[in-house]
Parts: sequence; structure tokens; C-alpha cells
Amino acid sequence: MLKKTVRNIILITILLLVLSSVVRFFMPFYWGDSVQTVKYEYYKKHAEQYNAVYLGGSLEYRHIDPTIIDSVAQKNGIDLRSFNLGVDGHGIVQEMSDLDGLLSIRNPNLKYIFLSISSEAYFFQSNLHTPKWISWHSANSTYRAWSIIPTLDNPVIFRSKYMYFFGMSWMENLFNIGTVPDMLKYRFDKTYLDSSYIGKDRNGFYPYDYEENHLFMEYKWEDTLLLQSRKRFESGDPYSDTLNKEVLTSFTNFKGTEKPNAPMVKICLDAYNKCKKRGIQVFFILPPKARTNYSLLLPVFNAMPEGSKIELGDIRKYPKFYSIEYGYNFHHLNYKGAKLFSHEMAKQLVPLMKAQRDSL
Amino acid sequence: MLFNSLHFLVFFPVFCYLYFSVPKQHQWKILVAGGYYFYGNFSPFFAIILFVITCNDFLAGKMMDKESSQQKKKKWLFLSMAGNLGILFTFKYLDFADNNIRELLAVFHIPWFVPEPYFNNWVVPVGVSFLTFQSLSYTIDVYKGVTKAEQHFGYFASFTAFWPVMVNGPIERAKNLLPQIKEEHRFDYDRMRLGLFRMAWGFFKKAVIADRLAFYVDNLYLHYDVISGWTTLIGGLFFFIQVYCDFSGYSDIALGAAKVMGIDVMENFKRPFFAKNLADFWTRWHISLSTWLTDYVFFYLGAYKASGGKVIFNVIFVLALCGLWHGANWPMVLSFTMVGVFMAIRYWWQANVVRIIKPSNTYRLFDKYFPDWAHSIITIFLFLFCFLLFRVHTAQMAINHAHPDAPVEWITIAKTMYGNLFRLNTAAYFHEWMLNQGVIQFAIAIFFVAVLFITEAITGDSKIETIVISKDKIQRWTIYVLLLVSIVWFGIFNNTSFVYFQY
Repeated sequence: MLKKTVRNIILITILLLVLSSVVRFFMPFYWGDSVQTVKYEYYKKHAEQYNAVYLGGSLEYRHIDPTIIDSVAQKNGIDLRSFNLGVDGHGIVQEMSDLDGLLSIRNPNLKYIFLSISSEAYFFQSNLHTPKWISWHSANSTYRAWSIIPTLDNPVIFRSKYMYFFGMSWMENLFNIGTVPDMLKYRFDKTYLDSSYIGKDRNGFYPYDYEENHLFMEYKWEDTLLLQSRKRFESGDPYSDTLNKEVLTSFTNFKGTEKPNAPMVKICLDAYNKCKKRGIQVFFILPPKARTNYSLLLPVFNAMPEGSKIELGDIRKYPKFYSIEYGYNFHHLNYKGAKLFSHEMAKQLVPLMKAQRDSL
Repeated sequence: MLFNSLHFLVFFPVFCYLYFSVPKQHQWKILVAGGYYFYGNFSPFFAIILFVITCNDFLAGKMMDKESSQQKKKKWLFLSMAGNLGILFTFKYLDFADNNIRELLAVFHIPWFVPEPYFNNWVVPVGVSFLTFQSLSYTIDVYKGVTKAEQHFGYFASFTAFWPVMVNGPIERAKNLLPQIKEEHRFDYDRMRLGLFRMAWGFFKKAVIADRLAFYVDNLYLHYDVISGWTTLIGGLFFFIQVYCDFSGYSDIALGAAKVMGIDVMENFKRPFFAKNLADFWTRWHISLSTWLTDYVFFYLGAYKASGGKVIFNVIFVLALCGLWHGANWPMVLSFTMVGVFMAIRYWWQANVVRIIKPSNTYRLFDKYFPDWAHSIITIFLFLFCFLLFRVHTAQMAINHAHPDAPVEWITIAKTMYGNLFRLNTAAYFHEWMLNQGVIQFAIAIFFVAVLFITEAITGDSKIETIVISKDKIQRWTIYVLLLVSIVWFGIFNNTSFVYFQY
């Protein structure tokens, strides 16, 4: 009888798994996040207009203005037509899933992809059990997260918790746990999508300055949070100095001989090689104001292939990025900062692209 | 531990495995260990309270057994009552009493020695009202000779720590539960099927319906000042259904889990939305509490044997007590007192039925010409009207927490809501309220509520699991898959606790 029970439980689990996979098969990879949906659907429609794409989290979405970078590149004789596909909260693991999804969108003109090295396998606890978080998990993403987490410096209890959360989210994805109403919403009622997130110049760039009083229902809590964090930051909260000191220490102490986090390096190089095979050049960006400690990010960034690195995080070279004038809050730049960031990025990018063009 | 948590999903099979693996003489140990783990998981302090209640009532029962005179037994009953009600009062009602005394004394400008706030951050043990009432029923039954005193501390501890029912009911009686606990239970496939299906049905009610309706109910109360007319009415109905699905969902899971273990627990709900009158409603809604109050309070007060005026008082008093049991706040007490008043009016109107067999003419006509469904609708709306107050205290807390600079009184919320309810020529903010979660979510909510009521109409008073299990294999498996898919795909899983946990 116990055998029969176990057999029936396995049978019904498999059945549920199959049914869930069938339903998920008809969903695009980006459906769980409304901002991502808006941006990717726009990109999908106009994909062939672009030959470059920026991936990453808010440090890319809110900071990289493709119009500035394109115009600087074009002035230097480089044909660059780029689109910002960064989405808030996307850490390295989700960024790689985004890359997998992006490569599945047909665009023969795609030549450049920009990836950000700005986080480990982190997540916002408030996102757990939400479609935004569940929708993108897969065996690959779980494997990536599980390979990174054990190597981090956090206490064992946190690492175990992170492993559990990533594993659990994958399970939730496999069985569509609680996500079907949102799938139906995506299919039959797209009124919740706000196209303004494509940006004023329709290039995917939307700085935080525009964001106040313009947030989705699902992010309503951020409304206050954003405002609060901005006010705290602008009032010269000493936390800012603490963060800046940490960044300075990381860069000052970095010798270039440190052993990088092997799984993170592997994940980044896999992405680099995968794109290379398709004739796409990957550039890695080290942005300023990352939440993750630079002592972890710097060696990983350093291990990336020469000619593919754009370093913009060093507080000694770019002190303005860490100032109140150019900042929105502790971890983001304001519009002014974003414009400066885009110019600085273009300055580094143009020689790299020229060198690449000359080598061909 | 919450039933709707991953923790429970692991706990339950492990518990069952251990429970069925050990010999009969050790099964109570697994029950006790499981109960203390289950309850202590909320807080180890709660487990200590459970142990104190268990020791107190075991001792009282045993001592009553030794005493020959009722007078001496009464002393031990008093000890048990003092212990249980003392714990209940200390954790649940002390802050309420403190506030009321303070406000009362303030009217006469008399200072109150307790600093404010003093008791309001005391943690109320989860389900303390259920625990104490269940344990108290044992000592009252021993005193009345309905149950024999339990001599084995372990069995008694398994009764008080019987985890399926301990935090949210049904409030079981010792005469039903204790003999079953003592029996040997082995794994039984058919029983397991019945139990698991009942559990799944409970999860469906909780995760798919109650937690989905919670979106709308929360918005109704948070925007009580702008929502009016039909929106308030439909919102109130949603709240009624939410509480029903939340609470009866828990009871279904409890009944199902106990069934898997081989123990039959009393039914706590029997399709209350099909009740034909207010009295009938109480035979269908939270049956274990209404029978508890009937057996130990209403009958003690004289029930229907007293004079007409006394019966009316008894009905209102018991309902007010029921309200106080539900929550230490005036809106809750008032909510149930209003139900009591309606029941008293009905009793007064229908008095002849009970007392002289001949019903009053108007009642006879009403009974004859109104179809059953009309009776049910009237009953539902009378309860809906009273239960609007049910949530007012919680709403007041939430509103005042969000806007501490502009606190509102519960009376303001209640007055505004009732004022808005009667403006039935409007449906203010209906679109905003309905579409807050999108058309799809609203449609899903309505669809599953319809599924629930159609199922209840089809199953009648029979147990749903018995009906499903008796179907042929294809029908049965279709139902299994549909139910499971509904729960897994459409359920809301963010560890929301059960509404009745606060009681």
C-alpha cells in the first residue's frame, strides 16, 4: 500500500510537471517582469535596428544612455546602434539567463553585447515567490547560482539559505507555482504594461530621476523607498562615506594577483565564448556604486579577456560618480551622473572597438 | 508552523512515517513530540504555555476523579478554569481591559497606575483560545461525569497537543479524541486517500480563494471612506467568503491530516452559506465553538427553558461572549452582539414555534412563501451586515500604522462603512477596487468562488472526499489533477497565516 501511495504521488507529480511545462512553453522568457516585458517586446519588434545591447541590472538600466554612446561612437566612425536591456534587480545569474533569452531572439545584426560585473548571486528577499523572480529560473540558472554561492564569504547559514531560495525558486518555476494568473494576465490583459519604461528616446534608458511618482503597482513600496533613499543620500548621510571608503580600500588594495572567484569567472567566460561563436563581441563593464564588494568583483573583472573590459568603478579615477551631485542614492547615479557615466563609457569603448576593427 | 508552508510539507510525511512505524504503546509519544514541535515552532514560549495548560488540567481531572463530592470536585474545576481562563485573560484580554479601565477612569479624571502602553506588545500565543477551550472542555466534562478522568499523562498530553486541531480548531472534546488516540493506528491506503483529498480541498479554499479575496478585502477596509454602495456590499460579501474559506480551509486540512493518522475529528463547517436562518447558520459555522458555547454556557444559563426575556438575554449574551472570544476589541464584540440581537428578534418572532408549538401567523407565511434560497440569501446578508465590523479593528490598526499622524477611531470606520453600505444607488470606486489586481485576477476569484459553491451545492451535506473517492478511476483522477492544478497554479503562496490564528 505504501508503494502504491508513493507510486501515485510520483505519477501525479510527473503529470503536473508535464502540464506545467506545456503551459510555460507558450510563454516568452521575460514575461514575469513588467518592465522587462515592455523592454524586450519593444526590442524584439525592432531587433534588426540594433547592433548592440546592454544587459544587467539597475546599474546599467538607469545609467547607460545608448543615445550618448551611439553618437560618440558614430563621431569616431563606428557604426553603433545600441539598446539598453538592463532591468532593475538583475544580478549576474539572471543576467546570464537574459543573455540566453536574448540570443534566442533573431537579430542577424547583433555584434556587441555588454555585460555587467556588478554582483554575485544576490536577490531581494521581497521578490521571492513573485513571478518577477520565479519566471526566469531554470536548471542552468540554478546551477550557476549554486556554483557561485558556496564560494562566497557570507556565513554558512546565509549561503545555505541562498542555495535553498534559488533551488526553491526553480521548483516554483518548474511547477508554475502560483504564477498562472500572471501568465494569463500577460496573455489576455496587457493593460498593466507601461511603455514609458522603454525610455524617452525609445532606447531602453530610464534614469531614476524619472521614476518618482511613476512606478508600477507591484513596485509601490519602492516609491517610498526610492524617495527615502534619495533624501538620505542627499542629506549627506555618513553611510555614503562608509561605502565610498570600502570602494577606495578595495581598489587601493587590489594588486592584480588576487585569485578570482572561479565560478563567476567561468560563467562570464562561458558567456564570452558562446557569443564569440556567434560572431558577437562581449564587453564587460565594471560599473560604479555596486552593492557587491569590489574586492570580489575586481579580480573577476581582471580575469576577463583583454580588449573586452570597461572599468568605470574606480573611485580614484571617477570620484564624481561617488559624489552627491552626480548620485541619486547610495547605489545609483542621477540623470546627470548617468550622462557622465555614458560619456566616460563611450570614451573607453571607442578605442576598444577601433582596435578590434583594426585587428580584423 | 503554518499548514500552508513548505515546512509543513516536510513535517507531515516525516511525522506520518514515524507515527506509523512505532509500536502502539509509543504512538502517543510521537503525537506529543509532533504537537510540541508543531506549536513550539511558532515560539518555544508557546510550547511552555501548552505544557502548563496540560499539567494544570491533567492534575485537576485526576483530583476530581479522586473526590467523591461534587462540592470538592468544584474546587478542582475552579483550579482548571482559573488556570485556563487566567492564561487566556493574561495574554489576550489584559491589554483590552487595561485600555478600557484607563478610558473609563479618564472620564472621571482618575489616574490609572499602569503606565501606557504596558501590555499591548505582549505576544498572544497562537490559537490560545482554541487550546484553552479544548482543555477546559475536558475538565468540565470530568466534573459533569461526561468523561472519565485520564490517568495517563502521556495520553492526556497527546490530547492537548494534538497538532491538527490545536491552533485553529475544531475545538475537540476529550470524549471523542482521547479514546481514538489510545487506539492503534496503522497506515491505511483508503483512509490516507480520504484524508489527503480533504487536505487538498482545504488548501484549495485557503490558497486559491481566501488569499485571493484578501486583496480585495484589504482594499475595501483601507479605502473604507471612499468605497460605497454596491462596492461595499460586494466587498463585504468577499470578506465573508474569505473568512469562510480561510477558516473552513484550515479545518479541512486539520480533519484530513487527522484522518490520515486514523483519527476522526468533528466537522467544523457544513455549508454555512446554505443556512436557512440565523440559528441554522450556527449549526453550520464554527460548529465546534457554537456547540461548546451551547453546552457549557447557554445550557448553563438555562437555554430555552428560561422565561422569554431571559432566553433573549441568554442568546445575546452568548453571542457577545462569542465575539469576545473572537477578539479583544469592541467592534468584534459588537459584531457578534448584533448577530445575537437578530437571533433574539427571530426567536421573539418565532417564539411560538419553540414554546407553544404554534408559530405566529407572520412567521408561518414567511416560512411558507419564501423559497429556501431566499431564506439563505436573507441569512447571508444579515451576517454580512454584522460581520462588516469583524475586520474593523484590524483595519483601524493598519490604517493608524500607515498614517500615525492622522489616527482614526474604529467607530469612525464603522459609521462610515455602514453609511456607505446603504448608498445602494452608487457603486463608488467599483472599477478601481475590482481592477486593482487586473481583470484576470478578478475573473479568477469569481470563477473559483463559483466552483466552490457549485461543488457545495452538488455534494450537499455529504463529505466531499467520500463522494470523490467513490467515483470511477478516470473521474477520480481528473478531479485529483484539476484540484492539484488549481492549487499549484492559482494558489497564493507567500506564507500568509490563517485569519483565525489571532483567536
